[in-house]
Amino acid sequence: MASSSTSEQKKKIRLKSADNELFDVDEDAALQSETIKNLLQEISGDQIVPLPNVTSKILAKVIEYCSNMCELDPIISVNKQWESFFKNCDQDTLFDTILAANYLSIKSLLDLTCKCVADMMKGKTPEEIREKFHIVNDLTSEEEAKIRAEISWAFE
Amino acid sequence: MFSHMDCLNKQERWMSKCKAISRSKLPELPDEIWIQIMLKLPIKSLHICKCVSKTWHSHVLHIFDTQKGLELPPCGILFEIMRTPGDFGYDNENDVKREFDLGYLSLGDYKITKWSKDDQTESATLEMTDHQNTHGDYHNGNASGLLL
Repeated sequence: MASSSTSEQKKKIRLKSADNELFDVDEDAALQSETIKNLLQEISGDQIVPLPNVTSKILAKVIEYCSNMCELDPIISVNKQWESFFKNCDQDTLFDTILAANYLSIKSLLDLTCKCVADMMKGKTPEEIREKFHIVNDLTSEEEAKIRAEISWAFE
Repeated sequence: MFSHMDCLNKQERWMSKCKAISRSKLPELPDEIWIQIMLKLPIKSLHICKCVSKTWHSHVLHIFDTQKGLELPPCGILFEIMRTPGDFGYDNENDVKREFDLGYLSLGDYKITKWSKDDQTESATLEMTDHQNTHGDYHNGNASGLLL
């Protein structure tokens, strides 16, 4: 994922992660986030934008993504690279990125990461899904049998 | 008889249980995010989510509830009901067992949001939409019918 091209006096926005790390980000990259856009309207000039819900590890990835999206390279190929990154990263990173994209309101990133989770679920049995996402089955065996009977065609 | 295989299986199951418990907890996604994820699933996988847990079951029902009633242009889909002999009252079978089956085409692009059968009129209704929810469709067919 290429770093941004040599910038000529681009306006920078300073973001602060949950663990107090500071990030200087090109304004056009930062503005991909509706949340940051709104926060910037509330605070004046050169103040730091605090993002208490996002760790530095995830924020770094999100910023990299937003910077990539601002570049003029064909977005489709960039998107493919990110898709393969999220498909191969660990599940914690994927879920944390979803939460960050949701909080920061970056629709394209939220769509992409949600799609990656959906792809992980496709063609899986309920047992496999539960195991993958650590979900406790609280359906009674009667309830589960009834639902399974209703949708037996989906298991074919 | 207690076989060696049983022993192994038991041990394996126990080990995997321990592993599941000791693994760090995943970050929890809020319900609305799970619903967004489910909206990106093909119809079969979406239905299978109903068997995962109570919460997931209600998410899927919510998706079907909020998406029905979209009236939009048709798309390629095969819709079929099969019935066993004796269905139409001419045969003397006692076990009037009915079979209801649904086959799909082009489901990569579309998903069914609701389907139901009316025993009285022997007709079936099918509602569908594409994944972006910009188009949907509504089909009503007779028993043994085929809609394309």
